[in-house]
Amino acid sequence: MSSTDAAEVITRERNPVFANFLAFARRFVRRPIGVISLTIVLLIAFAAVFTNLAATHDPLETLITSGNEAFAPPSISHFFGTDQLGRDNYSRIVDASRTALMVGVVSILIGAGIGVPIGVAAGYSGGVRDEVLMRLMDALFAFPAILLALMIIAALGTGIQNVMLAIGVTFIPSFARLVRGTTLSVKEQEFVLAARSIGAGGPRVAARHILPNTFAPVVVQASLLFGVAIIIEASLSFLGLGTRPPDPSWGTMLNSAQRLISSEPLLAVFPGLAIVITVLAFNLLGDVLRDLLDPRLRGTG
Amino acid sequence: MRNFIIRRVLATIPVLILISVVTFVALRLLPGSPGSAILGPEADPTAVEALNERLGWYDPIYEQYANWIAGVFQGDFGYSQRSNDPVGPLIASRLEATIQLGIMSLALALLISIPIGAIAGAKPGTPFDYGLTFFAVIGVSMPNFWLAMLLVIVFALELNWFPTQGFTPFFEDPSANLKGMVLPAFAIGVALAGNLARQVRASMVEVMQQDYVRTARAKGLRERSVLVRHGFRNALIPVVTVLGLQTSLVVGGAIVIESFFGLPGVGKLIIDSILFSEIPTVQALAVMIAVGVAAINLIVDISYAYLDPRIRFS
Repeated sequence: MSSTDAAEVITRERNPVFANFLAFARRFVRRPIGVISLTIVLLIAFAAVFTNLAATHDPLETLITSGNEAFAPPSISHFFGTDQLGRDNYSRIVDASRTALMVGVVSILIGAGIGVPIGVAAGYSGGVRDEVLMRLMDALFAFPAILLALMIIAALGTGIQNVMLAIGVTFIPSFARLVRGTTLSVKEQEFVLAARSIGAGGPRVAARHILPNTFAPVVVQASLLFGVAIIIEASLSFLGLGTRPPDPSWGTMLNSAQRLISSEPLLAVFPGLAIVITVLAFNLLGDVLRDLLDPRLRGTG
Repeated sequence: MRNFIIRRVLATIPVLILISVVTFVALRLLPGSPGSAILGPEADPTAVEALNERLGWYDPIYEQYANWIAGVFQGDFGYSQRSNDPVGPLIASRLEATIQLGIMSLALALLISIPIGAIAGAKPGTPFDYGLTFFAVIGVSMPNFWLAMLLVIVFALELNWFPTQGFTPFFEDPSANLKGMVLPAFAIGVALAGNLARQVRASMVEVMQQDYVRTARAKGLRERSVLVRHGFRNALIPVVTVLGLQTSLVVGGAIVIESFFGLPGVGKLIIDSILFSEIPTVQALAVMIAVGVAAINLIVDISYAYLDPRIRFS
């Protein structure tokens, strides 16, 4: 045994979570697509959090407040040109990244926060409870995501909070089904049997021994659904039923670009590119994470 | 097989009941009341109340649900609050455009995804495979309405090959109809093709590692017939399972794309009904779509069990 192996064994014994994470990080950095997509995600997160640093203009300054030209072509001072009110398109896109990321994070927290416990409860208890919960999930799943979101928006009204809630609800069945499947396979394993044989009760076993094992697939699913959340938010806002001004949104920008599509087609290009790049980064990241975290796929592909 | 079908059909019944409950409850929460929707915001409050009373708005919610579902079973979906027309025929008049759009976008997606997914999956790790995977991910990452905008800018406004908007019924003028449907079908079909191509590829990769493929090679078959007769044909079976999800995506796509292209379909009707708080229409459409998706999933499950006997006995 070489000295690095020995060091690794010692670290692993001292702190298994940290050591596992290190081992995972080591495999992750060997995947160029993973590194590139994570970098893009972090850059967008930076732009979303530090909007003032990333933007070159006040996203709300107009031709009246600062003498900007309307429909200015892309240039050094306005990277993506200006819109019909003379607002800087680049700064508005940066500003709207905050909305996109917030919608993604909150809707996934809602979807996973409700869906994961449902999945664990259904898979672990089995029987009638499983049947009832999963049929309810099947019913929710039968609605196309955008239709379910639209129904919730119709009931609650537009605006960013309701959009996040609506998208979150559409994610509940995905998380529940996924976690139920994982729970079914985990609960047959020996460590669960061991925990039960020393007298751990159902809720404790579910929370301490089953829930942690659903973490990896949930992270993968979250990364893939993040992109879906951004697309649904943009679609709702594009239809005029999503985020309301003054909350900035790529979908709202495309909605106003639609009306000017014949005279100013360029306005439609940049917000859409922002959506595609962001969603693409999350999808590629999700694919890499799935390869690395899913033991069934390890070593193939 | 018969037992499997009976089991699956029985499992679908509670789902259908839950679908109707979800729809009813979600839309019962709408702000306002049918009375104010019909009479307008400036109506006399007592008149609004009287109308609400007559429409059963103040009845217990389970009674309202029972009345509504009883109507649905008799094909009575209620009346549009704006025009007072029955909702059923209104929806029926919108089916033509949506069904055509759905068939065209699904056909387009299958035409694109099956050959390239199969070629990529037959030789995984080649540049063609990486190229396909990349384009498939882009297809899935692109909002359909943005793709629609780009298509309109290039093929309608610049090249003038297709109209930017509008719908001509097929039996009135088939060529004008098809011209108007090409861009909408592409806008929906590309994302479907991305999904399907990845599925076909994954399934092809898996099939090519099976023993029967090795046997086919070992007995000296030409690579071409190994790929087509033993690989490709078996690889298509699991692809059937994702068709249910594709239906959901087609309908979801139609909601956005029909509004963008001004197609008089079911999707545009949903948006218009939501904008005008037409509760009976939205309820009827939501139930019809969800029941349709559940029914297609049922058919998909049964046909998959038929194609792959292992499923029946699990």
